[in-house]
Amino acid sequence: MDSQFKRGIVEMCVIKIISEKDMYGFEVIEQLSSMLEVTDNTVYPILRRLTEQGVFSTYVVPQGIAPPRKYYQITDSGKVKLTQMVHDWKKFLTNVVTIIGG
Amino acid sequence: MKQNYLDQLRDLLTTIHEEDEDQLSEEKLESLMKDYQQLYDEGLADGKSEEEIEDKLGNPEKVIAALGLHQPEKKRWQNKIVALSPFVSVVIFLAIGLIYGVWHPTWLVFLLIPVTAIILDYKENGHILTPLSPFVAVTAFILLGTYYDLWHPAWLVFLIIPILGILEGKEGTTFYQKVLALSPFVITTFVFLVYFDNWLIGWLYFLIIPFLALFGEKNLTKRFLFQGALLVSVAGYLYLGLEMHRWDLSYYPFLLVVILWLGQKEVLSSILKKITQYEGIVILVSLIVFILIGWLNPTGWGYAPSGWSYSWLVFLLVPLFIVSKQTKGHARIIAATPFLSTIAYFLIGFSTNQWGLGTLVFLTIPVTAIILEA
Repeated sequence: MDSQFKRGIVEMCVIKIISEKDMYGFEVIEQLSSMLEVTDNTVYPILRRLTEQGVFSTYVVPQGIAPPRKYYQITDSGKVKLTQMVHDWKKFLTNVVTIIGG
Repeated sequence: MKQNYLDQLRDLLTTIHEEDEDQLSEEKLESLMKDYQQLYDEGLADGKSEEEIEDKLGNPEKVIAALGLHQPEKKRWQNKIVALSPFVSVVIFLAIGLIYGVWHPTWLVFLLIPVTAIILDYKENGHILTPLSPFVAVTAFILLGTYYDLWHPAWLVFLIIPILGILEGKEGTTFYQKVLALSPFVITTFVFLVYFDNWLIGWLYFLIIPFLALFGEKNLTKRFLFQGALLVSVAGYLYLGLEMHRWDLSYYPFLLVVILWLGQKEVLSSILKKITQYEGIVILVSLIVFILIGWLNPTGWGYAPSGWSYSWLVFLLVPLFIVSKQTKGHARIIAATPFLSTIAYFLIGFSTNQWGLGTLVFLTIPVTAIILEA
């Protein structure tokens, strides 16, 4: 699969899983790599880029004696972006299925 | 290992930042380092091993690529010289070999390859001697051994490697810490040069190391007690040996230090606790084997040396056991190689008398680290 295309899909999946619940960075990497064939070292850069674009905000939660965790939370603009991406993806899939049949 | 990983990442990011601040500002660099440290800590808190975490995060080179950062290319003329150095080495080697018939130690010219790369990679605020020291040491050792048959004490030149590393030191290392860290190497050099044929006196100089270390003890009473006990023990040892000619009894004064040490509540209780743990069992077994081998062969027979001269090697099983328990994967192999090399060196030396060639086994230490970590 073309890497640019795959990156777009991975971005959408990252936004989707965080929209369902706030997650810390390593948790995102773990969950995504268990569900998708994705190069693990690309997940954090995607997370960072989406945060810089305002899709996520972050907050820190102390963990007692363990180091604090930095959680990612979807913003309102993130929700809008996710809705658009899911809509585009579903439309794309429908068109592909139509072309290839089945 | 975590610090190694983060250091490698920081080195790569710093190189990019220094070459192209527009691509990577200092603020962004620190923010990336903070995030990766955070991710690593989260992985550890989730119970993942360091290997698993580094697989997930990707090696530092891949991280740089995934972040869309580009490593700067070295200046072209530097690249060309480094690329040419193997061919230059071959030409020099063949020229000297064919014209003068001197193939050994002419092969040393091949060290120009890594040396050239190190010199051309030298940054103005770096320490060039430290990375060059292994090659300088190997060259000096081979030349002194080949032309002057000074394999011993020429091997001492390898001590410049840790000495330069300590002198370069991490930021924040105090003068006292540097002196303490240097003391084993300085004392080893002194003892092997001056007292090589007189171990009865020479080994005493190694007691300077714990004596110096005691200056770091904050409890003054404890410090003076132990330093005093060391001095009294040494005096007793010398009196019994030199005056009374009773070298067989001369080690007994050191029982004073052992008793004082065991008398500390925290030492005794930690030893008793360890007896039930595996480390304690390994220590006890090593002690029994050490005494057995020495006792069965105290004076040696024929060309075989005394058992005491090699039975101490069994104590190296203790750090090997601890390394195997506390480390995993590549870190375990890297941590074990110094001890395995030492065992191999002495076994080669005692069995073949090839002490000079035997020193080559110590090259497995940096080679292993480079193969597994670079």
